[in-house]
Amino acid sequence: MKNNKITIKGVVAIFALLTLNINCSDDALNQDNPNILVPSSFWGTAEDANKAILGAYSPFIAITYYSRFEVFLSDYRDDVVNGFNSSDRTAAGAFNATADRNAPKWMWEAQFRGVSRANDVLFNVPNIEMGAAEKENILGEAYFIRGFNYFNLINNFLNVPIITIPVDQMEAPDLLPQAPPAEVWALIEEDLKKAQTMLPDSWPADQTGRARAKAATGLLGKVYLYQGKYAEAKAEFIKIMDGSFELMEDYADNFTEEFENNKESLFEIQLIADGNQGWGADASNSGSGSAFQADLAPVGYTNQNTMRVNQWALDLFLDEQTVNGENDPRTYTTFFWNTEDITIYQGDTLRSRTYLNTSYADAYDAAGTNIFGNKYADWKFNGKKESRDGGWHSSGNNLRILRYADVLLMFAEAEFNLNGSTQAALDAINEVRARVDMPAFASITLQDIEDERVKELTFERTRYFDLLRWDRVKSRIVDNPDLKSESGGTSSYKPGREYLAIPLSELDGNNNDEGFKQNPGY
Amino acid sequence: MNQTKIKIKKWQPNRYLSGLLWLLAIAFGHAQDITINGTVADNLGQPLPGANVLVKGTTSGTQTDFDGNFTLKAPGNGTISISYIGFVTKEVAINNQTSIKVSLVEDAESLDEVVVVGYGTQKKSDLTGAVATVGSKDIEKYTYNDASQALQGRMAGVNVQAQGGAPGASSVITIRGTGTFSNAGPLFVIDGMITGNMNTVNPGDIASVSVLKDASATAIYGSRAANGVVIITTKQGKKGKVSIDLDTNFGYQKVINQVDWADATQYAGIVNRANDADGVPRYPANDTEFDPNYSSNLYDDSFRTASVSNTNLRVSGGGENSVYSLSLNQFDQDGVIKFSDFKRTTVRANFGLDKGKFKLQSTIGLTRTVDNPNPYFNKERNLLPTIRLRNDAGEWSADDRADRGITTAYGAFYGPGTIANELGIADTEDRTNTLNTVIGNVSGTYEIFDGLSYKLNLGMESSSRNNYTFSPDAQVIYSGTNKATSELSETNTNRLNTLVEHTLNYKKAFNKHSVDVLAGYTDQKNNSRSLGIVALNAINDISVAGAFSSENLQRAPSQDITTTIQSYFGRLNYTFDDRYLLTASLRRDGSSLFKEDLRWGTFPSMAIGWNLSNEPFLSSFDAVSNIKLRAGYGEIGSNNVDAYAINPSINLFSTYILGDTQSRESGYAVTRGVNSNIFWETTKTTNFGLEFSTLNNKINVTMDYFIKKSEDILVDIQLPLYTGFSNQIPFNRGNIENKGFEFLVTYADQIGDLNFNLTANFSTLDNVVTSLGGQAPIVGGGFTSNGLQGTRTEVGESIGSFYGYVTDGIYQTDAEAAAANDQEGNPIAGDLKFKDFNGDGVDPDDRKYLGSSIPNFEYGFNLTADYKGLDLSLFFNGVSGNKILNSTKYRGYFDFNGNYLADAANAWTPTNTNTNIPRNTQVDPGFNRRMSDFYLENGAYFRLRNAQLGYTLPDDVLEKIKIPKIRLYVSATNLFTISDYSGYYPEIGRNSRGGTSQFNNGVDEGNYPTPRSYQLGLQVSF
Repeated sequence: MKNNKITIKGVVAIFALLTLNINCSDDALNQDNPNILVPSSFWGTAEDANKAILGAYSPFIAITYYSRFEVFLSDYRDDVVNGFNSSDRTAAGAFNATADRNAPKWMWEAQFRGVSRANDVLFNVPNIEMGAAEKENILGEAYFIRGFNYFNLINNFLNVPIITIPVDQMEAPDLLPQAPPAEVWALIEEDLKKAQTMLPDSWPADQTGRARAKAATGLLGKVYLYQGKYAEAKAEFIKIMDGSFELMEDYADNFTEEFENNKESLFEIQLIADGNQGWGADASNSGSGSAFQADLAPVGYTNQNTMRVNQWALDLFLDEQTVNGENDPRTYTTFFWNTEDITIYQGDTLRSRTYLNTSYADAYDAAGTNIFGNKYADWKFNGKKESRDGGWHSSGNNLRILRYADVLLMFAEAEFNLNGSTQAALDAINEVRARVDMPAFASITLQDIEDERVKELTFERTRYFDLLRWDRVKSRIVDNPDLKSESGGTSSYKPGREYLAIPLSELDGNNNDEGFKQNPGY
Repeated sequence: MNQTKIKIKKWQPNRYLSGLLWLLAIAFGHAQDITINGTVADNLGQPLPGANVLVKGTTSGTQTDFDGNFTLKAPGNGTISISYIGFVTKEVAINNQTSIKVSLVEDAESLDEVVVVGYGTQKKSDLTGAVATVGSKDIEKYTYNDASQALQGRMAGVNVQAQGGAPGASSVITIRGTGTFSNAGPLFVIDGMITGNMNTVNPGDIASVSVLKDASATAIYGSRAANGVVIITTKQGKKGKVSIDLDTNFGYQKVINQVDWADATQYAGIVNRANDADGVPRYPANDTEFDPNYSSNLYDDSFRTASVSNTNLRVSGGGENSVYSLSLNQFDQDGVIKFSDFKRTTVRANFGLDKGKFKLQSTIGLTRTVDNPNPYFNKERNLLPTIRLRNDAGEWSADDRADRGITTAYGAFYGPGTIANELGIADTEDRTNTLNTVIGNVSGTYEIFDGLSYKLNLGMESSSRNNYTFSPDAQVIYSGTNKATSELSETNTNRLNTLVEHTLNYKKAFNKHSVDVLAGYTDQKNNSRSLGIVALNAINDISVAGAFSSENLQRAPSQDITTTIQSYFGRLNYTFDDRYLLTASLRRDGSSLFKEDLRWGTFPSMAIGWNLSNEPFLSSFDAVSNIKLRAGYGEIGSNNVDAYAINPSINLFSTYILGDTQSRESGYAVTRGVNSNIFWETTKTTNFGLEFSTLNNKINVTMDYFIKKSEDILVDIQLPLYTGFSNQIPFNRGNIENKGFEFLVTYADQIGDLNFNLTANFSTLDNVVTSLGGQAPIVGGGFTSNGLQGTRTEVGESIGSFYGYVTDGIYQTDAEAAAANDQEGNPIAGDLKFKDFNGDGVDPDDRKYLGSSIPNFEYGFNLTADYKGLDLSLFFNGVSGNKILNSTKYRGYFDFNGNYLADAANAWTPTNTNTNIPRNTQVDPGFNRRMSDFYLENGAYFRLRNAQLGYTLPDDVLEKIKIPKIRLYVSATNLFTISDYSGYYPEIGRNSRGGTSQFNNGVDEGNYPTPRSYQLGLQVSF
């Protein structure tokens, strides 16, 4: 009993010890991963914001997107390209890109990666203390990237979920519904309008390649045009036709590494041949070249199956002559076909030639009839023997997404649809034609605009989507199975297959069975 | 009086009672008694301090002192009763002797056995949870690779599966079935230090192992206990004289079963027949140039008779206030496959001190293991038997063409494939894994006042591991060309695991009530840091320094990982009148693995027990005694999450190209999805137990039935790609249910000089996945490099159930084969026939669940007997109800990049139709190799795991040579195994190409064979 005092002291001492111990080690439960850079230690500085926005551009140059695979889901689906062999790559062109195909799945993934990273920037960068202008520009880029990716998504897949916040902020990312297309279009417009006001007019020379305000304007005009909102489209295009852009003197200069990011170019996907050959993305060795060249190159100048050009397209090019009575100079840039015709253009003699300046007869035989692609090959610039001379990523030729010539043609189209063959419409289309010595139109039809777009923009990822927005995929492609004769024809077509199938992974992974459905026709 | 109290062992349950008796003895006294001076010792002659000595029929008695001596006054014609915890109570008639020597015999099955439980001990009769124990006597007898194997077959509900028979191979312990999709095993507690395995413990140092099986027993360990808790207590010294024990043995091992591979002639015949059938020209090596002089038998040349030796030396003893034990162990094992061996050296120093109210306990274990594995044995694409292992010059080779003057290209001569001389590779490559570990703790206890004590326990585990592999250039032999590049790969990993634990314990008995309350706080931190290097073209014979001068420094794999856990816990044990028992516990854990608001988990449990036999209404019922009913429920956690799994990481390589001069600019992005909302997996166990004894306590039975529902199991789910992430992400969405019945019976008796003890146990298990949270079935169990997968995990099935086609013999005619309308192949006569269940042709819809790798019945028997100086121990165990996927059948019948099984020569041909081996073909148009029950075999086995026969020299001989004990023994491991399995051994572990994941369980990809071993040993005590 007399020990009571000691006992109480002892108990107090022990509890004091316990308390001390507990209080001291409270932080011990917060363990950050020292092996990596974690988001919690990120998003603090202007430098972080800048790295993050570059990370949002990065999916564009993934092999699964513009570095290569996108070509199978755009040009390979149009009426110009007749892809060889029925494979995963030509499936979309033959209306056979079912939900389990790789190419659409990969591109979908890359496009949403772009959306997701733009969302990370839009969510986090506003909280960073940094220069207001710099912050505004970066947020503008994020809106641009998100809007651009959604534009691609809706044109390819039509029924897509709208995601505008980081996935980790979402309650149930697996329960998202697909949004009505009108809402997606509205989001794209909204994003591009914001981008238009937040982006700078230009970037310093070492930042060339980043989105500028006029790129957003041009893309917004295109977005309106795709929806048939001609007045809105025209208003946007006019903003660009203020002298800030002009056509390159030589049409061919738009497709060479030498004249990347030129005065005609509103937005390009920046590609590079820096020795990296890795096939993936987001890795230290990821290649980011114009690997798609292997899929457009003439047979024998690529190890890929590649494609040939349907005869009607060449016929269209050769249908009219320059003011000098020669072939349209754009034909030589775009195609490699069996001819010894020449055209004098910009002081040069244009001939049908491909890698190593080889003539058609030397490449194949004098009686050959197949027509091949030649745009972007740029063999003159780097002296390549073939498209993969030095590996998939051996060429760094940028992919032009929006050129001033396209803006002029789209303006003409909007103007024509609003007011008919006005002088403004004529001026725009004739400016494009004059650059390649083609005679001016005195009046135009919609068909003239359509034809001009083929001649100017073939292999520039726009023809299929033109047919789609004009609702002519069925009449123009499906009903002419010969255009896809090399890859199984068009018998797989079912109504709705103008769009790609929603990848299986999305249907499996999304548990909102009511709100998330496969596209019609699949 | 105080002095007496100190002598009483703290953990003695009847201390209060004996103290009281002592008081009474002094108070009343006994005038006409004689004075007896006696000593009490154990059967080895060690004095037993603190033994109770009582005059029978009276309340007078005493306790032995430090040297086992006692002095007692008692009637000359009376009887004294001597009892000591853990020993059989002995009665001795006084017969007017004034000097009495008493020797007590240990009683392993004593009902008052003290069982180690979480943070303390309990009398077995007070236990309310399901706790299985195995004592040192059953462990120290045999030589084990690995301490966990000492538990195999000895406890109902505890499955121990060795990872094959390689030297030093570890084991996977599964307690009451798997309740997670992760690889998590039980939690291990070694002398109070919480750790992840028991590999570093010398089996000879173990005093006891308790396995806590149900939630009411494990909940005190909270978030890490869902897969059970294994508590290891190492041997302490005893107060008394110094004792020195030496146990040394030496033996050899041999492989038990051989797989019959084709010899060169058989091989050539098989391939020629296949080539003819496939319309492919025969290869010269098998046909025109076939020469039996150029042949090999890889497997015969790989096996050897290997030695194994084990030596334990232990010095122990104690003074008045201290005990100590120091032990040394050296275990050396060569593998039965050449170029593999393992060595383990262990030193353990345990020390205890008690002085008044203060007690100190410390234990330190040092372990060094050096493992030189041979990972190449029995792999796919081994050397063809038409090629010699060594060339004319005696060097390892995979190509005889030069010696034979052949100029034909390799593949055109021998046939296609990537062919490796796996024995040559194993020899020329240098592989060593070295691990040095220190594990130990120091605990101090202070009794604040009677019944209340405070304990501080500080534990530490520190290890350094070095993994080293060097392959010199021009050594690895594939497809006839030597690998030109040398490669060095070395990693050093340092781990530090520290534990601080405060506990307060209040124990009090008053009237019929007895309470034991425990409250504690612990804090544990675990850090692992590693740095490694991988270099190509490393200079031969230069160690890690060579990496820096190598032409190609490839990678520097390194990481730094820290995890912490803080916990509060409490437990109440309440007993009323030894009839009604209640245990309630609660633990609250906070873990760094989870994010702040999901970090804390609370794990409650409650159990009740009813000692029916102590009820007055059963007092006259003697046929069955010690009847106890138990019931318990608890919720426990499982934190099966990698460190930092919740932290998204920023990828530094999400680059873009910028600038007029176009250069790659670094961009950052979050590229891997994580679910930062993951939390504990929770397991809810309901347990019912019944215990009773009969035949005068000679037979003791324990039965348990449990239902274990594991919820919120982490399932890796593929989120839609629109999230921007393509990796699988864990979600707490799965449910798994395990149900089982466990039975343990012991029978101990004595017939004349023959003492024997028989223990038998069995357990049943039913494992079912009840939810996958919407995820598609999980496919696993890859068993070939060609992507075939053997298992599938789906709701309603066991984890990792085998899934594939059902074979139905062999198509005897082309017409029959064509009529099968096979969607996956184009079979002809001689191909495997697969069942078409729905009549629409053989297609993937005809695949079925084909059984599970999880045994639904496991059992063990342990028999020990001694007669005079002879003693015999036999330990049997077995499993049944499981299947094994024998991937050797894939290699041996279908894969043409290596040798065939000899049995492939007995394939179907138009003239050999009475066979179950499909026709020889390398093209395999019928897709015979698809996953089907063709690969599955019955995994049941019954074996004599251990047998030992010993002889102890009689006392008269020993007294002459002044040595207290000499025992000689012979023992054997895996003396016989009854099994239908055609592979090397039916205990296969989890070692397939998919790794140790649950989904690969039961896939035998040519595991290292388990050997049979014989040993001769000597035990000497000084």
